[in-house]
Amino acid sequence: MMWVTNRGVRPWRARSTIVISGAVLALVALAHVAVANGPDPVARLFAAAAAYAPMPGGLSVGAVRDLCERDALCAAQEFVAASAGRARLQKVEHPDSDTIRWVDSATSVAGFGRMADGRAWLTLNRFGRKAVDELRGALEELRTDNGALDLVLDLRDNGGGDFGRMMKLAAVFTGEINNSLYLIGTEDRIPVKIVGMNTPERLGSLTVVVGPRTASSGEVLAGLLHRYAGAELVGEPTAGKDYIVRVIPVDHDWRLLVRAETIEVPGVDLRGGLRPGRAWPNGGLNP
Amino acid sequence: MSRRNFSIHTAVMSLGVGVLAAVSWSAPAAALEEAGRYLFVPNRASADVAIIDRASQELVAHVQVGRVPHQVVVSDRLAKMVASNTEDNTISIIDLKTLKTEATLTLGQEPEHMELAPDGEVLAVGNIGAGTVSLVSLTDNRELARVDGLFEPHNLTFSPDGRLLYVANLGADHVSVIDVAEARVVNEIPVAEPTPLAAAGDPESMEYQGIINVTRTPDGRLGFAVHGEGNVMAVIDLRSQKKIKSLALGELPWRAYSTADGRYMLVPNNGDRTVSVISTDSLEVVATLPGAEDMTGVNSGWFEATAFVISRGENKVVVLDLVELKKVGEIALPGTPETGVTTPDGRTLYVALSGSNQVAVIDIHTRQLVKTIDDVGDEPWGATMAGALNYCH
Repeated sequence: MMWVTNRGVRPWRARSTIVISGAVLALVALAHVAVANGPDPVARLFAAAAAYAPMPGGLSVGAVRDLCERDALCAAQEFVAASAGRARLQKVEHPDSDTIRWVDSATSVAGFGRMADGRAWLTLNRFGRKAVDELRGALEELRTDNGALDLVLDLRDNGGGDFGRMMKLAAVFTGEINNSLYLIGTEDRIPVKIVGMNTPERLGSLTVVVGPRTASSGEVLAGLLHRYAGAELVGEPTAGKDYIVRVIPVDHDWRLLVRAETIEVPGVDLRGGLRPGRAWPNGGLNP
Repeated sequence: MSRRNFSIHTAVMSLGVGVLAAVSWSAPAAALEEAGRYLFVPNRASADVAIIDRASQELVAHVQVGRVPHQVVVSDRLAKMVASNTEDNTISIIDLKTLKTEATLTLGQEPEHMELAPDGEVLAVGNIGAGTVSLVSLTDNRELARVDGLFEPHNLTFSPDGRLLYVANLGADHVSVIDVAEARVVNEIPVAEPTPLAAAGDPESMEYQGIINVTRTPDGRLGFAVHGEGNVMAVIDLRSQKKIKSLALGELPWRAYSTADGRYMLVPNNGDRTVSVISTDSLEVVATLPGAEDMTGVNSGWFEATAFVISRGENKVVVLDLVELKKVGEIALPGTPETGVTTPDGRTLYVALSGSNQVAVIDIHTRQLVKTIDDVGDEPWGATMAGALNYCH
């Protein structure tokens, strides 16, 4: 695991221990009772969601059960309708055999090369399974000698993605960092560590280009690199999505995405979006 | 058998002569009365199963099945072989005494992984595209029931008495438990907490990796379920059906592979190219050893003193000494390895090579590649043997 809390406990486990409320206990009890007659998908869904977000106002488990019986998708739709935008449903795009077995994996590094001024550039658009390998491979190709690399990292089309993989990728530049960021729940504030498994890349300078399409994990990465790797942020303000979404399976075809913890990087304002110190000349990678 | 013969055979098949009936040639007169003598290799692209005589290390027959056969299982007791034809949504049931197709059953969408109950009569098939599991009687050649309520069911594991079936949900964070007699899900065992994402819009869901497999100890006491997104492995008490421990592993762990003696569980971590070795006695990670890129399987043998980690990304197997708990070598392979099987005596490892249409034969004691069996078919995808510790991707 590349990111753990400084207490050595994963934040979601700590949260699920701390945030147990009467309502959650009731839901868990409901789930256990239901198991005697086979698992109740509605109880499972609500118990999982309640560990991260309060039950939406006005939503009664009993009323949902009356309406939906054991239909988890129906219950999830009711949850979304009552959540005032804090939850949404996602249709699952089922992986094919080759995706499951890693034969196919969408590319994360969209391109890299040399700018006219001699600096290297690299565009990172997502946080796929092989993002770190792709990044390290590209950096290796960009190094023409043993000297430190001056790198421009373009995150303008990076809308975020898997939070854990983003933290792992950050470690490539920062190395190990305690208390790198905090996850703020309704009742606690959990420090999260970047775990550096290898020596961080040696860079002469690091410039991170961001823009309005830089969001969520993309913004957090930019903030972490600014804070811990001395990166200069340039470009335009970012989207300002500063929270974690938890993925809760509903059934074979649907997942419920529930807004959970808020992300806080010390000294970096994510809430209003990152505000770069200067614009990126010409908007391109070849100023 | 030559490639020319194979082509003629395929052409005849394509003309519709005996399309549904499996056809063989150069099969021994007594066919396959002792299924344990043979190695079965499904070929995804040529839609057939190659049968190799272990004694002579020669290809002795091909049996045509449906499109994109993913896995083969063999019931020694009933002398039947089954192939899951993922593209056709069917399974082919083959009589090994005649090498004829007894039945082609249409199941749910994308039947992929299969597991045979200990009695050799009931077959469980995960229809990964439909979220269902089919229970099939190999005695009657019919689907007994189709169980719903699963989430991209991947590998399946029977309890030693065959009463329960543990389903690894690739699309969820829990293991489902099916009561086979009742043909319904009776429990769900949580393995990991919901995956955290931070993404604008709809996050991608294709690369979500929940649970690939539940690997049980030979005595059926413990189950080990890896959650890829959480980088953790749950240790499950299968009698109480409770998670009793969670172990931190490397990056993007794949699944646990048991040594035949049940002493260790070995987990390839594809994210950081390591292999976690877990003692089933202490339930601790006792070593983290070097692995390789895109590891698809682990086989052990020779008194369970040696393990071979199959690396599709680097066309090799990494050799681990399970006594010293260290890497002791590598064996380069001439093609892209998929999965393999160790003979029940622990002496020989067969690995399907999809890139070169071969099967590699490795002497486990000497840790040497001793032979390749050529022209086994197009895109060999795995190797299966009756009485062995079989697994699929």
